[in-house]
Amino acid sequence: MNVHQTLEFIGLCAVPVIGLFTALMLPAPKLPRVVARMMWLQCAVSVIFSAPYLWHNHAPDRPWPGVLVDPTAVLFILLTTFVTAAVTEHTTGYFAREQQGINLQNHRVLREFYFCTLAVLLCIYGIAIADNLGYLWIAVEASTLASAPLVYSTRSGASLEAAWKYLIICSVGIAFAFFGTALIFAASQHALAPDGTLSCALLIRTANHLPPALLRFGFVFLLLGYGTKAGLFPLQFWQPDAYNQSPAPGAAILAGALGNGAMLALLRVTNVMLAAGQGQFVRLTMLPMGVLTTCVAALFLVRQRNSGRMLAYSSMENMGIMATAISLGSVGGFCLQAVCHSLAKTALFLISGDANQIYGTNLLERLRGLITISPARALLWLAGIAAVAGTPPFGSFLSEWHILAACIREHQPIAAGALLVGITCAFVALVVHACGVAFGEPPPGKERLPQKFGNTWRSIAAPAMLLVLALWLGTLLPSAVLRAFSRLTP
Amino acid sequence: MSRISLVGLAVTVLESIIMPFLLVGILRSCRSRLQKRRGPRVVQPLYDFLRLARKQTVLSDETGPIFKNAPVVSLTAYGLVALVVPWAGLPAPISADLILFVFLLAAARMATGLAAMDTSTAFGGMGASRESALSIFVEPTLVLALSAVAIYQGSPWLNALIATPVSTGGSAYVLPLAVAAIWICAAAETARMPIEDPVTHLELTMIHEAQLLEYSGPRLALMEYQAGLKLTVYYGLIAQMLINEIVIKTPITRWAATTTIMFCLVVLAAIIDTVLVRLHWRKLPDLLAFGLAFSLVACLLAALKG
Amino acid sequence: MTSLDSLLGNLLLITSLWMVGVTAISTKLTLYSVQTIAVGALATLVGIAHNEPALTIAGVGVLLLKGIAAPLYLSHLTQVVGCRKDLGTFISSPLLLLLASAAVGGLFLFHPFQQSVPPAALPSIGVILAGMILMVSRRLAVSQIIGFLVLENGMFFFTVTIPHSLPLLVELGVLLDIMAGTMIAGVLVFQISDSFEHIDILRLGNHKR
Repeated sequence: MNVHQTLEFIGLCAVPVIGLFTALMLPAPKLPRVVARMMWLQCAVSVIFSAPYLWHNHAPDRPWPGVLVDPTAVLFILLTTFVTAAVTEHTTGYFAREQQGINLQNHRVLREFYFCTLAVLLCIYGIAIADNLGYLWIAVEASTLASAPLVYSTRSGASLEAAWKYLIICSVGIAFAFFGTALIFAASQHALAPDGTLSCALLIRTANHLPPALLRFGFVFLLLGYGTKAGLFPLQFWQPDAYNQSPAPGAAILAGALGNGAMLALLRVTNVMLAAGQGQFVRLTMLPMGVLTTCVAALFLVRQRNSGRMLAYSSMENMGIMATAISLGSVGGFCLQAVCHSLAKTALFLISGDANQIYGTNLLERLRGLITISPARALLWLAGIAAVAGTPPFGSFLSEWHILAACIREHQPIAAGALLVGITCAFVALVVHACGVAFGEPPPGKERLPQKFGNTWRSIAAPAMLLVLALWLGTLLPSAVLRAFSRLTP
Repeated sequence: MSRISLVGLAVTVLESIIMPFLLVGILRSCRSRLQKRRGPRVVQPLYDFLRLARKQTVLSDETGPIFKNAPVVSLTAYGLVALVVPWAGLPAPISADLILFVFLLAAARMATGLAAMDTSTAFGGMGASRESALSIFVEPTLVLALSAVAIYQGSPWLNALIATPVSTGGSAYVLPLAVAAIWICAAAETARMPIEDPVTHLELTMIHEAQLLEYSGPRLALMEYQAGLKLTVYYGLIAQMLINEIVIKTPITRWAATTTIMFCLVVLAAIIDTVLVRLHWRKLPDLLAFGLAFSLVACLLAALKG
Repeated sequence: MTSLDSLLGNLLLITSLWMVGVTAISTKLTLYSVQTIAVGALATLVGIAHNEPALTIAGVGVLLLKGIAAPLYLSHLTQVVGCRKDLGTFISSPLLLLLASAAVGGLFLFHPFQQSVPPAALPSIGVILAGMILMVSRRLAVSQIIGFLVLENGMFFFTVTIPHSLPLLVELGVLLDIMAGTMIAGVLVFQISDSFEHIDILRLGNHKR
């Protein structure tokens, strides 16, 4: 155990842990501002923490057994911290404006919201640095438990139903992942007799000795389990409801931080499979799942009446693309896609939360003419939609291109074709819905931005920053970005 | 025929004449005591039988030959049942397999049911239809439970029950589960409590008893005796399965153990009659499905042994 | 040890199937408690016999937390919420019982995962199956929690049957997660019963839109 690294690590977790207690103890009206400040501090801490790994090719560290800090882990720590910081920054204005549900008057819910947000952040840290499949499982399940209260923080009947569905379906899914973990452990007892191991690094090293039948069986369960959490195709029922029923900042956390956690878990597991020479099997199971997820989500996107559900299905589409990338072993493509999607989707949920406050509804047919009410928000909304749909100036175009190229390189023309159709269909559907929101005549009585929104620039700073970052990733020299992300391959 | 089997035959026949009256008598008096009533004497069923046998028969004008002959037919069936099942703890005089046992029970049920419909009264038909509906659940349960035991013992012959188990490698749950399943069958077949109220006078809630409403005199006596015989055989069968968990060497001890267990079972039945309430007719499949599931799982566990 | 394994494994299986057919919550909780105590005791004994402290501690933890504390909490929950029986199930429970038994029978007889799973672990797969059936067939929130716990029991039993136990930290973390999950689900049930005055999951959807 290395004292220096341990201290580094304690430094990384210190602020969120203090934040947890703050959320419990501070008077609630002050809470949003304090937590937002703490999160920006945490951003600085995580940049300092991750700098050596990302920019100086620092070798992966193992502060404790079962913990591995590698560039991928650091990237997701950084991303999640940044996204959470942006969300908490936005909540300072958002909760002050909110009338019903979760707002500044509702102290208990507010505390719960911040407590759970920080707990989710810590769980994602856990997922990112877990090298042990068991710890990985614990962190993923803990993140589910921590995020369930976010879904029902509006305290409405429908949100209760969504939270129940989310908790139960994801818990069962993750229980299956535990079974898969146990099966992989049983497999490892053949390779590393007699004790076996759950460490990803050790499993990868001894991958050639793992019995393939057990390994495959375990992988199927892990795929089902973490796939449920990520919202992959046959197991996505909970996702639209949960995203739609949680308050906008909660949905932003779910989409921007939690989805990545499950995908990261899948990445770790798939790495073991690929090392064991089971690439064919992964392509037989996970690739179709990913492609189908994208296509099905695109179909659902065509007929959507509700902005929250629309964004949820767009997330599902992106998760499908990420799963495809993972199954093809394209870690760089996956990371870039995950980063761009998180940034853009978080921004979108924040903007759509504002839009819901302006119009008092989230039905797409009643959201009209945002550009005359608040041009800045409309612009950001369109930019965000362009970013999640993979339009050129944004980083997601680069990653989707990269993943399609990987499909072709791995001789999967059908998958590439289906993915292309899915992405295109989703793009068209998203743009049509988004333009409907941005342009047109605003409904009577809503022609002006309500007074309570105050200074426009401050209230849209967080989403704007996220989108600028997503844009920056796309406008850098494409080859440089791809090279940087490809270096994350373990 | 060897001496032992001759003695066995004699004991079986003797017991199948005495035990039904005795068991039913004990059951009734126990139930009465449990309900804080004095109740009839233990030998009252025998007196009832003799009294009914002396009485005159009253036949309805609507009845035909089926009604008149059914008691004898079903008595024959039950008599054979008593001879093929080693219920007394002694090898059965006639060696038979479990299918014959179930078949004989079905034959008796058919005779009773037809006779009840032959009376062309509403209650008779209703009782017959209910009894046959119940048998849809009871028969598969019985077959499966006995098959589980047969697989466990390695032989489909009922007399194998008397032999000690071939190996103890199988699951310990086979016999308990089979016993539970057969207990539920026995409750359904002998009109015991969660399924049918044995002391009811309300024809609408009767199942088995509704078929006997039109009988009188010696025929009724025969029918009552058969019900007791059926109870005896079932409890004897259950006793055999319970005994197989212990190893008993000599026939005498086995016979004694069987008889003791049968008395205990009767007391247990009396307790159950007292504490449980009758299930609604439409809730019965819920209970019987448990019997079926128990026997299914017992079969499974028994089959896994091999 | 193997005979004890199969003895308790089959007990687990039988109680799980039994629970599929039962609609009274209290009976289900009793059965659940019996099977969890059995599997916890098994883990403890196997841990002692194989000299694996991790398994022993995990077994005691399961016995105390999942086997005693969780049923007590859930029965308190049902008393406060005031529900005693499952309302109609999606398929009537006796039929479901038979279907579940048949499914487990098929699993045992055909043994589809021959290469992957040792025969000793078959009951655990049966229990997982029964837990799944319990979860999807019941409409009452409490019953779904119980189903989830049964599912978890199956998985824990599987980890007991494999030759060496999982690391202690993993076992304890899993146990902690499960307990926390039960508590959070319980709180949700309270909330649901407060806002809807029932805990029938199927009827929650009617309030949407």
